[in-house]
Amino acid sequence: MVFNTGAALLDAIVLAVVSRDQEGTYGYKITQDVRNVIEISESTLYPVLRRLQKEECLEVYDLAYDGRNRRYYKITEKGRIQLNLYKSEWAGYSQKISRIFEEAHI
Amino acid sequence: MNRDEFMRELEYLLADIPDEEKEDAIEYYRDYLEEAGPENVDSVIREFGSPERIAAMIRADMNGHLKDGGEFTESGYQDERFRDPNYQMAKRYDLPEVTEQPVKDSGYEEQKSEPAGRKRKDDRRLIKIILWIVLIIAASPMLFGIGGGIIGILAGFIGILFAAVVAVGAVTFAFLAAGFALAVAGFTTMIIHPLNGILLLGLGILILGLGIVSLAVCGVFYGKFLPFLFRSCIDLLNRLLHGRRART
Repeated sequence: MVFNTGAALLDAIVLAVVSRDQEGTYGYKITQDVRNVIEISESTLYPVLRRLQKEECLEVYDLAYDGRNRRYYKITEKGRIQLNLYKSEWAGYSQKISRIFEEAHI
Repeated sequence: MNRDEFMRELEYLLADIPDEEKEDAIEYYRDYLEEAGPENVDSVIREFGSPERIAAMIRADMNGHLKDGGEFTESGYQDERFRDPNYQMAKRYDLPEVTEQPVKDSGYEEQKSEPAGRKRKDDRRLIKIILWIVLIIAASPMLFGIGGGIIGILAGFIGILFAAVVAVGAVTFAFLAAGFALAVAGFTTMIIHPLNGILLLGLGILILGLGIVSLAVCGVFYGKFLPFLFRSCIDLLNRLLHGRRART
């Protein structure tokens, strides 16, 4: 990809990915899902998830899976509000950018 | 580096951060490698770079540096602190010294040759330290004797100095007190035996005079000599500790 993804946009993408699973989802899967959309390295998301958790946009719970604990991340009400804000911001932003490209003479 | 080695190293590097942060991070990365499965685990570890890099990211985030630090670009997370996701990170903050990992992968070869010069220097320093330790151990019986003697002499000097400090003050005080007492006694006896009284008064004034002289000596001793002694001691220690620097 030519364009950079800023920290806020990455937060938004992570929140969106997590919000798709009602029951919550886990670190490895979140990373792979985000990697399907933008290129990030395997180690990128831990600090992001940790921060979102501290900001109470995500909550965690442990669930036994395959004889061990798996940590699930779930979006909170606060996270949804934040995601909603990101979504509307992005809609306006991307629309304006798209329009300027459409009006461009090539 | 396999999974267990990676986790052990990471755990070691995070030993000093708060338990809650550490456990959370360790659990996340252990889980992550577990989920990656045996077929992906090597490539994931390679992409992690080094345990040092991961530990640095965790620390940086704890301190709140990560938030405004970097950007996520087409080639992954770009932060000058963690440049080159697959290799070593740039030196920043109080990060642990990055040790070269013995990597068997061929892709790493050209990366490894670079810091060889520094490594040789480190080796030389290490040899020097080892030689010093051997020397000290070999010479220890003699050193104990000489060292004991030196410590004894030093203690003696310090004792003398301490006695002098106390003595100068005490003598001055004694002169002044005795002089004053004699003068007072002289005044009182003058009423009954005028001649005796005058003698006592004279003696008192004489000793008071001596006391004032020794007070002046005191002033010089405490005000000039002791600070001078103190300063020269510190100078000497400084010179002993950072040999060449102080002499130039």
